Amino acid sequence: MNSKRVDELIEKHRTEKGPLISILHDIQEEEGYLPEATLSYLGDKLNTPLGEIYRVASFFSKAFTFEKKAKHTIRVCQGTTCHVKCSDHVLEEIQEELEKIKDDNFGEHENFSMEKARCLGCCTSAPNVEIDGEILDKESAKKTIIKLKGEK
Amino acid sequence: MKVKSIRDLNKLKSEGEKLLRPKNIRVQVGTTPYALSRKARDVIEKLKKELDQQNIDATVVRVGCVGICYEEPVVEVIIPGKPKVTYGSITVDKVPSLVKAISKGKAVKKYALYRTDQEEIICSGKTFSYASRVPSDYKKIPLACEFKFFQPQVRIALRNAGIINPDSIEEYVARGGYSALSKALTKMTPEKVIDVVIKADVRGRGGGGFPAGLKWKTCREAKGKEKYVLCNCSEGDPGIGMHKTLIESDPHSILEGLIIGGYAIGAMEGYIYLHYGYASGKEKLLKAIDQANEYGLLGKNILGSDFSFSIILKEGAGAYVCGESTALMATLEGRSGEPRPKYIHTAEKGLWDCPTNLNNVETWCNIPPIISRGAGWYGKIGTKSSKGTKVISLTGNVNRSCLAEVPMGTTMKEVINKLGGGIVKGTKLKAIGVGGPPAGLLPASLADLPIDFDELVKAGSLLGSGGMIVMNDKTCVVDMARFFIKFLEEESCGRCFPCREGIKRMREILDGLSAGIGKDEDIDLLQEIVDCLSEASLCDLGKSAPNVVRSTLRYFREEYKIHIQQQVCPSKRCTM
Ligand SMILES: Cc1cc2nc3c(=O)[nH]c(=O)nc-3n(C[C@H](O)[C@H](O)[C@H](O)COP(=O)(O)O)c2cc1C
Repeated sequence: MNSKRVDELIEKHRTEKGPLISILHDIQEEEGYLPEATLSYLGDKLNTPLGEIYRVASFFSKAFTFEKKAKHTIRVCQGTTCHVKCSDHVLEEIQEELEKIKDDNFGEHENFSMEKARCLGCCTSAPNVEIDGEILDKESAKKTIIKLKGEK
Repeated sequence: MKVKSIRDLNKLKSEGEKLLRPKNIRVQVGTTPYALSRKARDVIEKLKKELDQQNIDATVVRVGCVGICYEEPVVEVIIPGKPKVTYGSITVDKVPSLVKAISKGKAVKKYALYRTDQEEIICSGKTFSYASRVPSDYKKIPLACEFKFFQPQVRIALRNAGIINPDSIEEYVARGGYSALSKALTKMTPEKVIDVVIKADVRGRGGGGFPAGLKWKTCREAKGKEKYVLCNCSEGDPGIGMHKTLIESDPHSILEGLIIGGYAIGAMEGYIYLHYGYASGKEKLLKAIDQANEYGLLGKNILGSDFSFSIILKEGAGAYVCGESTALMATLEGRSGEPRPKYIHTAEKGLWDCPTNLNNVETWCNIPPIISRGAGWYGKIGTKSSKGTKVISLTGNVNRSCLAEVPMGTTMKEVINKLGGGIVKGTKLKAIGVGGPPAGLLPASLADLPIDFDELVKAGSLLGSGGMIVMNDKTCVVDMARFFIKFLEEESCGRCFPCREGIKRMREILDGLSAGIGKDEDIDLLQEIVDCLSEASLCDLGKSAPNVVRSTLRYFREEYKIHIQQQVCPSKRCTM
């Protein structure tokens, strides 16, 4: 992120007391991760030690990442209701599906990042998988992965 | 338009009434995440298209959630002069026949769940009548009060859920919204407001059940010029989604509660701490805040009084511990969300060291009707020590997952059978988890216990947030204990030793048990860690973390023993 954009984000949250987390959210959303150079510049501007910024960002490891995310995000819900409905097995199956892709010559495994989600807030249809924001059941999720793999 | 007086508010109200009961037909569709995953969006498009093609003068409105999740997408049709009809499981291919019936002013019995002839408006106590005469084809559809899902319910916090368009302040006002604020500002002193909340004996819905009025009073009396009121929409509990429903269905009820709280406590600013990743909830709340500002229900000199108040929305960053009051405040300040010891109460030194009052979303939603109708009215609902209602999100191995609101004192069995339609066929009820990770599990034999703060504590559980997860005999309690403990291990902030190390050790022991390599002395060791954690942890995360182990050891000790002595998992859930 260029320094001009960082300045704009700081300006956007100028009237906010304790704006650090809000600014980090914006950077994460726009860049897909928190680049070190951006954080370093932000630290100078906010007069906050870089260590403190990293302390906050790494504390909230679910919201902030330090590496760019893959193109497609698969989130397998591991909330309580999903667990009661054996979401740990779903996780294994999705992992296997991704492993298969890895061996394939088609798609790049790096196109997918898989996360365990705490709760997708859709417990009625548990167990749930979310791919790029859409909530699916296990079988449709597998199909979607294969479909996305086919797309270049 | 700025609302400066009761007259202005009444004008807004009549605009809202025109929207809620227009001269043309109103078709409303629920749009919660689950409804959307069941293609509610396509249903809306199809409805619009069909209505258009058949030249019917109708408005399609997106509403929140009535709570009948198992029947999503839910569509409601209001034809002027006819009862309101609620249809369930409406798919795109059912739309044409539905629209055809609408065009003839008829109802489709086979898709209908229930009909509503008249509706009570909670904030005013008045009833609104949809139809004075019920046509014969409508009579075959059961009334809402005959529909099993509504029988055990009293809807105070969910009073508008699924009925109004959450983006419309007019519709909120038409349902008696902001009249409590107007009453408080024009007819009541702050002390009087607090007095009503104390008399109503509202206990916090966020878990602990602390009396809200008492907390408000302490904060009002605390020294300090700047004070804050906060709304906790953290919802870190995995496996429920009810804050989300409250926010997405009726955001203004949260704002109104918070503004009244600000007035009573003497705060100029309120913060809503929103769970990370609730994009749709965030959008609804921001819109509601904008509207309230635009109409002068937030900002300077609200309703022409000398009270000024603003609300700021801040998004959290996804840590469970941030639901804890001091961690939540640290996060709002832009710091990492670690709790601090509470030798000094947050009511005296909270956010930026100023007196601060934190309440849960559902607590805030309850405030406006209490102010409007009085403590006497509220006191009649619920039990002796737990007044009012509780929103329950029911999931797990029940036939029907749903979101409902029942009077305190309703038994868990009633909730499971009446709202949930019983346990999944061929299986038996084994355990109930009521309030998320810190609440532990209760055995089927205690299903007759009422939903009541004190009764559940006596049984070694907690009402917590009210996320009720029902487990059948395919569930292994050792596995469930391990699941919750793993969750808490990941979520422990690591600041204090007992929580950081204790939870980890419990997890290691439980790993061993479920892998079939448990030892006889493990049970005693678990018990020892349980006692140590609840004594020595810094915050309630660590203090309550062992509850799940404690309660399962208390009620399901045999199952632990079988895991150890026979190295088998009776429910075949653990892979040994
Ligand atoms: C680890 C932990 C997590 C919590 N999570 C929540 C939460 O998600 N929502 C909530 O309202 N309260 C939560 N609480 C309780 C709050 O700290 C606080 O007691 C509550 O918001 C006060 O509001 P009430 O009195 O209206 O219930 C949590 C407490 C702890 C210790």
